[in-house]
Amino acid sequence: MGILQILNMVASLGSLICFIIVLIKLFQNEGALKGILGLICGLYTFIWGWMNATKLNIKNIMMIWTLLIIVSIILGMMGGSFYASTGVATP
Amino acid sequence: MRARMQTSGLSQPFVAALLRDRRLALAVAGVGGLNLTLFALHLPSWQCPVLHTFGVPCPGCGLTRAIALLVKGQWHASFTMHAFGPVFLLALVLIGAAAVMPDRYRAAFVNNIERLERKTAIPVILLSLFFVYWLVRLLFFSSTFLQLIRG
Repeated sequence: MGILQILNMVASLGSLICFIIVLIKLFQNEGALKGILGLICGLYTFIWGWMNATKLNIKNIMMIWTLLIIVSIILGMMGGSFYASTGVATP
Repeated sequence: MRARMQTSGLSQPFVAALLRDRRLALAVAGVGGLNLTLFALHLPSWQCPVLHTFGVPCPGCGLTRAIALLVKGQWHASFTMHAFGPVFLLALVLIGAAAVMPDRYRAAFVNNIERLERKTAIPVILLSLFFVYWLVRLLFFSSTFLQLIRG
């Protein structure tokens, strides 16, 4: 496993941790159904997190999460992607 | 008069709650549309944190591709990718409509959606089916499922 893949895995793990933290906040503040929606669609959790970042004092978490997503994308484009999951069209 | 909605429990009309918040509806429709566009142009788009970390697809993995295929008219490929593509495309269209609709039509539109949710519990039923669909794919068709999602 190359250094890029290791870095990508670390960035992915960090992104997952941020996702879980924000998802917990979503469940706590918006209830079960919206929480489940956030679980299904991580993008919704991300959007909701940014919209409520100041109110819930999670701006730092959202900034870290955003940074980790960007780092993952860059590392993926550099060929360090551990799993092919960057929206490449499948036949 | 705004209908009173519960904020907890599985019986709440949560789609109507989402549509009622214009800012959130605009953000979801905008970002959803952007994600689809990026994917269609083969540019980097949203990466599922679960899939990207563990290599295991979450229940929503494949939805972007399924919706993109549906928009291109490739129904069979779309259903193969994710059978709930049409449901989420419809949801995205409803959210987008609610985001841009003038206030005088919006209230009636959202109230109708809420009434439908309360009468039929469609969101709960669909979410339950959604999870069952994911579990069946993961447990009984795992190799095909993983190959399809990972590409």
